[in-house]
Amino acid sequence: MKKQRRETLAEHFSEVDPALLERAYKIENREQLAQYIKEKRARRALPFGKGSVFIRVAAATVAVAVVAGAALTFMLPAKIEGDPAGQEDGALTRLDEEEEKDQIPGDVYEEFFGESVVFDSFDKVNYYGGLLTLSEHTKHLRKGRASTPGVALLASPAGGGYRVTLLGNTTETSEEEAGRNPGPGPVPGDESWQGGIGSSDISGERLCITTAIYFQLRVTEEHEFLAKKVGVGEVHVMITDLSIGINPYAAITFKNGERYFSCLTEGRGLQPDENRFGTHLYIKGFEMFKDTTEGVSTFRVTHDPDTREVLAMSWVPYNRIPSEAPVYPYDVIEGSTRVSADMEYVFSLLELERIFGGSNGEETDSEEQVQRVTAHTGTSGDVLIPIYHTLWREYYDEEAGAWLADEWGEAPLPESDAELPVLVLGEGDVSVSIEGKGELWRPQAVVYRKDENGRLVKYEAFNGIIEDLDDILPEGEWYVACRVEWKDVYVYEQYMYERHMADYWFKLIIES
Amino acid sequence: MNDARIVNLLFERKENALDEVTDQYGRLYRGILREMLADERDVEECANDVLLAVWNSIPPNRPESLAAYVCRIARRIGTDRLRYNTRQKRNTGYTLALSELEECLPADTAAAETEEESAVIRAVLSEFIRGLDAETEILFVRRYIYLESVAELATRFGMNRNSVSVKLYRARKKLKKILEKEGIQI
Repeated sequence: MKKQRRETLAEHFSEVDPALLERAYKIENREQLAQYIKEKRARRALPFGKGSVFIRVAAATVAVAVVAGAALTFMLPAKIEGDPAGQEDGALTRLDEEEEKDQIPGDVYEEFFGESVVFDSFDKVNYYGGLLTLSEHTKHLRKGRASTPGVALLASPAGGGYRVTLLGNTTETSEEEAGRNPGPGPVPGDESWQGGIGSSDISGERLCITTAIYFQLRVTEEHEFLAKKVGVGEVHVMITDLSIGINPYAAITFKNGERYFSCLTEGRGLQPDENRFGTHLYIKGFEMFKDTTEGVSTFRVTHDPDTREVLAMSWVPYNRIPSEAPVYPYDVIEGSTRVSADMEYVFSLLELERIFGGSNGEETDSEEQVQRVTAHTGTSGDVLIPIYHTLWREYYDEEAGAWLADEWGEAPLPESDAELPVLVLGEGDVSVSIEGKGELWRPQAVVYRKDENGRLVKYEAFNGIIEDLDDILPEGEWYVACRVEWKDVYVYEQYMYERHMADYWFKLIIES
Repeated sequence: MNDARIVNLLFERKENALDEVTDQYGRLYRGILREMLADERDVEECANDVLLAVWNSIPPNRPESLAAYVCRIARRIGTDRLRYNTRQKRNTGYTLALSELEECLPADTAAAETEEESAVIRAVLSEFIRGLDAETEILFVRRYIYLESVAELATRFGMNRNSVSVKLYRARKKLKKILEKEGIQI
């Protein structure tokens, strides 16, 4: 009966408004889709003024700030979408209180972005969390009062002003000098790798941003590292002081379209000599080591303490002799800086999903929450998700004449990490592929079925290539745990490489 | 050649009209049929049936969108063939898409539909698709009407496969709510 009903539903779909079908048929690639997103977003814009609500709020904020003679040079990131028109529209400052009340963050951001962001990586958490903080900061300025619901003002860690200090050339050698890091990339025994939040899943964590800095820069081919990570062009940058649970970090996220890259470092990053973001610390808190084969790179940010404008940023690839390290400056786009400081904004992943995740400001329902949780425990769809990830780093000890290994922990992972192996279920086979330079080996699968009490009972285990499961297994519902191991090429000279293991979990339905 | 000219050729009973249909929409209806049918021979046979159906139904019909029209015919012919075949392949793209759509169905409320009820359902579905954000709209139509796989969609639009899956998942959940709210019984 259910099969018949779903067929009926599918048939109804093919009878929907032909204009919808025609449009979808004509939008064949990413560029056309991007154009359509813009058009549809424009059609959905609210009635007054040309810009979106978000831009209008920004304009009002700027006006208030100027009238008040505030020391801050502050604007919302209206430039993110490259539409500064709203900022110049004086009429937009006449929002009355009723309108203001309507501008809850969910509506504002949904209207402005309309992108249905899927929060599947730390990158997005930091980037959109920063945007949210900037927005809340703006609302606070507009209202001209000490606090807004959910937002408490705190003194900055520096005890007053916000500042970013230009780093000296010696900073990238500090760990080396301390004898903790003999070269690029972390090494076993480096304590700084084993602390932090380790194997936490942040979905239930209290996230808090005390400072958010947004600006844009131009990435060219010359900036090899970042160009490879996010591509060339005008790139959005978000730097935050971010706490995950009780652990404070400083994070930097680069965003170019759908491509993101982040670095995370311990401690409050905006103190002198601490605001460097080394790639060797990439997402340390999640025990996820994306790609350390390039060695250590450092980003330096130079900031004018008076205007709060980010003046310069540079990329410094690792060099054993710091004075000889090449420095590749970025072209920071003038006037693109927005800063939120001296406040604390507390939020959760669910809140970000509610605001940016396309649920249109509705209360996040339990299904959504369940979906997030199950995203970490597998799916019965055709794209499979690792449920946890174990990393070893191995190195060759010449004295011992053997490979020695350290286990670095297990962690639930954001579900869409492009550098993890991808498992695809099709025609009864489980195929595994990995992008980049990783080498796969030893896929294994264990098949379970549920007994009368709903407990999983092991049915069969497979080693090697997993194929023809639909021929091997009888009709029914099966639960399959699939383990994949892979290794990256060496990390540090030729003496070290990374070995990873991830488990995937999915449901398989065999029909007659 | 645009749709109107092709339709005119069909009205004039010019056989090269079918060549034009094949050139313009061959990939579309073959793609749909391939997702529905496991056997390439079935696909070939049904592809010919699609052309025949186009030839026989235009005139009198004069569709504004040939893409939508051809898609509908291909799906109908594919469904008929699927039902005809005694053994259904579990992993054809169509059955996978159907199993995903199952999530949208309200609780067991199967009931025979009148033509009027069908029209209401189609209107609600059209409105639902229109109400989706642009990206999800295109993904949804291509997945559940043109039957493109998640992997194809991800490649086509330069997206992560998981992002596509999650967007579709959310859309299906939203649709289920709408169907329940509207009291639609399928």
